Amino acid sequence: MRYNNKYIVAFLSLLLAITSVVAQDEKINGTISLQINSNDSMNVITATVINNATKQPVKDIEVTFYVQRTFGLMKVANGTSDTTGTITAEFPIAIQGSNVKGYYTLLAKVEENEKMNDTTFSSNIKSPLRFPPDKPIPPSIAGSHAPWWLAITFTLVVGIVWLLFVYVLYLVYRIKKASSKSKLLSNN
Amino acid sequence: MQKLNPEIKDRIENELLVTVGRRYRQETLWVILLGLICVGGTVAWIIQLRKGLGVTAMRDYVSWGLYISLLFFFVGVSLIGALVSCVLRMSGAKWRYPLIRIAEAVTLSAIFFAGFMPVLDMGRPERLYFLITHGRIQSPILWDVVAIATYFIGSLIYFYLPLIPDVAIMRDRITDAPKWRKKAWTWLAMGWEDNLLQRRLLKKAMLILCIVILPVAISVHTISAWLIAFTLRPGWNSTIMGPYFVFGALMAGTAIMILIIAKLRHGYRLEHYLTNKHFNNLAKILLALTSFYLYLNINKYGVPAFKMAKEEKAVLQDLFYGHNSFFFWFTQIVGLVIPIILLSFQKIRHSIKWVVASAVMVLLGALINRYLIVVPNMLHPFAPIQHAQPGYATYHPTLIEWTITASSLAGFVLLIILLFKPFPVITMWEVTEEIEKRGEKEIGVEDILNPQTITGHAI
Repeated sequence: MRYNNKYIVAFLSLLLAITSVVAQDEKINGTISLQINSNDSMNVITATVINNATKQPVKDIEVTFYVQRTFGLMKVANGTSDTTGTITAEFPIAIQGSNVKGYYTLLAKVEENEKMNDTTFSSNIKSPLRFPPDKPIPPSIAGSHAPWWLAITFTLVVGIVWLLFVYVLYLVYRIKKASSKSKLLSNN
Repeated sequence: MQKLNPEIKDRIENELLVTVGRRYRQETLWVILLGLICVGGTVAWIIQLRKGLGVTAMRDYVSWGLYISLLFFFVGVSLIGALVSCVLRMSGAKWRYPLIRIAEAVTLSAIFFAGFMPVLDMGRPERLYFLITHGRIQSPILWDVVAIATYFIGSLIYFYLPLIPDVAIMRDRITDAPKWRKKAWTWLAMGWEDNLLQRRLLKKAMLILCIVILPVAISVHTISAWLIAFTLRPGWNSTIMGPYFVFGALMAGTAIMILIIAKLRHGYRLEHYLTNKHFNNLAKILLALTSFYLYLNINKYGVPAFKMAKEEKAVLQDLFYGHNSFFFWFTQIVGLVIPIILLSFQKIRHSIKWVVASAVMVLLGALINRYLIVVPNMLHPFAPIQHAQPGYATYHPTLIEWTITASSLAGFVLLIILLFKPFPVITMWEVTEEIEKRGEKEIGVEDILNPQTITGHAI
């Protein structure tokens, strides 16, 4: 009886695995088209989700919008597509650009969706904010350059210790010289 | 000053020279065992180099695990050289003379492996080069690397200086040595003839180095403490860390010194040179240090525990009655309280066995304490790390980490054994000089001046 139970469990597990693979295969591939408008304070995104195979809009797909930052993604909005496959969302206009030209990248992502495979579409947006000029950062403890007093103290302390080591080795050299001197004296 | 009988001086030198190149009891067994552990560690390190730090249990939360805990342990143990060579010298303790070379060997070995531990933790050794070329002077990591390198070079010179007259004795007395050895001794002896000028220069060099090495040693330990104290984390965000590390280091160093002199005394039959007086005095130092360290622990853990601030609570609960509570109470009770009670009794301080047992407890406690300083605090940051997988918030060292850690400890002991192979364990010229000046009692040696007894020694 125990053996039979084992077979049943194994069979069910196999069935479950096959079902999940098939279910995965049933997911569609889609495209997101992005349209961005803006008013005084907000950017308005209109995203449309289209099925690649049928070229028809897809409803009930959750799309998350991010702005690419240097060390990661900043989430700015999200929404779910309606019957026309459209999502409308807003996010603040005052977002700093990522490069000197003042552009940043907006990403629209479908992530871990039941109907659709993961997909990402991006669009470059010009920021109304001025890109900050590349000012040299003043030397500081937290900055990339050490303050002068720290650099001098560090160099001085380490330098004195190493100079004393060199002096001690010089004394060892003199020990050797003292021996040859005494030999010379005894010869004379 | 009474000149030593030349016959007795001759016998002392003979007796101490016997340890050169001689295997002590069970040494081969120890060397093979430690060597095998080192081979295992090398294999584990190669695996880590090939596959990356992913083979360790270090993740987003605990990025300093066993390797950095061991770095703090080695850095701590290395302070014994400065204690014996400088602190005891300045305090005028004459009994230190037979211990100087042993302490310097322990220091040299410990600081060598202390320098090796961050390289293991970096994952890729070539990053050490970038640390030097792209290092920030504001970073305690750079200070630590510079301080460890400086202390290593200083300790190497301090190990060498008192060797000069001893190597000259070996050059002159050991006539049947192979040619290459004689050449090496001649080179290392620096033409030592024991004339007045040479003695004056050597003593001057030793005095300068003694004065320089003490602040360097203290800086190594303080900077190691700053590595963590400059990081904004519960448990580390404390001003006590510098002295906590320095006194913890002195304590661990004294404990390991007791164990090593006990082993060498028994192995090389140096009972007349490493006597009860040395064990008794080291036990007194250990008692003072463990008591003070317990006082520091009360301040370090007791003060935040009284306030139980939200940020500190998780770490303290983990230590007091959580996952790490066994280790925490072990370090406090077995590593501190019991040794303090034991060493408070004069009878126990006069028993070498009990002093060694106390030192073992203190050393075990000190080793575990380094782990407790690093890991539990890393597991409880002020702000949780984003997107960290659930398993990343725990730390269970992998076999690779254990093997590398064990091999580093084995390598440390092996290097000490190897350092005593080509040189005498005890500084011959200083011991004979001090016996001449002050007599054997003050420097702690026994029955050396009696020719009848000395013939019964290990010659």
